[in-house]
Amino acid sequence: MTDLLERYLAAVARDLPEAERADISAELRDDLLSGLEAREARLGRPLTRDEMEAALVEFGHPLVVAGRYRKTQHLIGPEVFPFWWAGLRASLLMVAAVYLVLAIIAVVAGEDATKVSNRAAPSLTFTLIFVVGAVTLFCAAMERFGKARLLARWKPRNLPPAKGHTRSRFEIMVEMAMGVAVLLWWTGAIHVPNTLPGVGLGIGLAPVWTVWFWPILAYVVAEFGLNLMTLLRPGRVRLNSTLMIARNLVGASILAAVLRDGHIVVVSAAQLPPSALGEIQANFDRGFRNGLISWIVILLWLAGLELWRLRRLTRAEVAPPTRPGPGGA
Amino acid sequence: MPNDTDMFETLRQELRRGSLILAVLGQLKAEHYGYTLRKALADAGVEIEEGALYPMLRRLESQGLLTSEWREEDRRNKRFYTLSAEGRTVLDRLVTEWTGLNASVGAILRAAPRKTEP
Repeated sequence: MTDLLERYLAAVARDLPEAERADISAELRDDLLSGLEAREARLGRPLTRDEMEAALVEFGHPLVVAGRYRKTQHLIGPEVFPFWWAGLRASLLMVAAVYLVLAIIAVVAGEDATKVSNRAAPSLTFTLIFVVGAVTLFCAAMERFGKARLLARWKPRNLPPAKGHTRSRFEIMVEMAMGVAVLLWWTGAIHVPNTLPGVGLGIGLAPVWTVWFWPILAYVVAEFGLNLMTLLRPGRVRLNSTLMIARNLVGASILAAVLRDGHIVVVSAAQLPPSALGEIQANFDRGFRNGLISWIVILLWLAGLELWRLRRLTRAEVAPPTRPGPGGA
Repeated sequence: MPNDTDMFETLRQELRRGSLILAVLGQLKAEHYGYTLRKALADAGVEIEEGALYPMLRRLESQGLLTSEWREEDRRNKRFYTLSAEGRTVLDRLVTEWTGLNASVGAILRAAPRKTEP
């Protein structure tokens, strides 16, 4: 009968901290034997094998019993859990949005939707699992090394204003996902088909874009950083708004410089005569020029809108606070 | 979805969790080894899981509230625990806290329900 007890104690001991293993095992052995002897004394006979098994089951699963002696009792505790959950949602949403944007670009460029989804599915699954693991590992490390308070450090003044339109978190995250997609395309990490299906017409970027490669790269990275800061520090409304204005003005300036070159895309088609190709090239240049002008107007409008919000915020801060009347807030 | 019995059991365990340490410290004013300690607690109406008691004793010992020694009794080696000097001081403070809290909660529960002022 003692073989059951020895097997149980050995199973518990396997998961005990090594330094205390012998000591804890000896104490558990005594406690179990004392309990079993008390039962036998009550019954007036030795325990059967089934009764012995039932007593050990009642004592607890070896992993659970041993686990109670470990310093770490949970991976992520109640203090860190809200940050883990918020971080996980944001990260997963961002990854999903990046894949969605890339898939839409591929489909618009003429790729078969089924092929695109079949190609993206394994990579998306792996990335999502990786993100879950990375966020969990980070939060578990914060928990393990007692840094949970760093996560929870906050100031009421850093909260976003209750009134007035600020960009939603969803809006910011979608913009960040689009930024990542553009960054991957711009650096050549992903390839977007640039041949119009059916007509065999190739469309490439004109040399002027190569001249502006680094400023555009810096712009996209800075935009991502700005969005990240807005997401993490939504209360810094004034700073975020000022940087948004600067971002839109810089973007408009870069596009204006590209526009001045006049030649925005290079069209190629092996089967067309040079005269027809020249006409198509001129049409494309005209179309893209109009597109860039519209884009510049939008960026300037956004900069103006942000400036208006900033002024309204300044006025609201200067104006004396009003108290809600007895009828309600 | 948890039923009423599950919910009550969870609340009961939460209510008991904090007071178990007080009961263990109080019981260890006299020397005990694990089995007799658990039995003494059970006889006093405080049931404690076998698997939970020993880790608690070790934690309290590592916090300096208990001392322990191995000794032979009934032909077996047993680990005897007792309150340390620091444990006695902490127990006195906890008892004061417990008594105050008990009185406050008791007063709230005994108070007749009143209408809330508009």
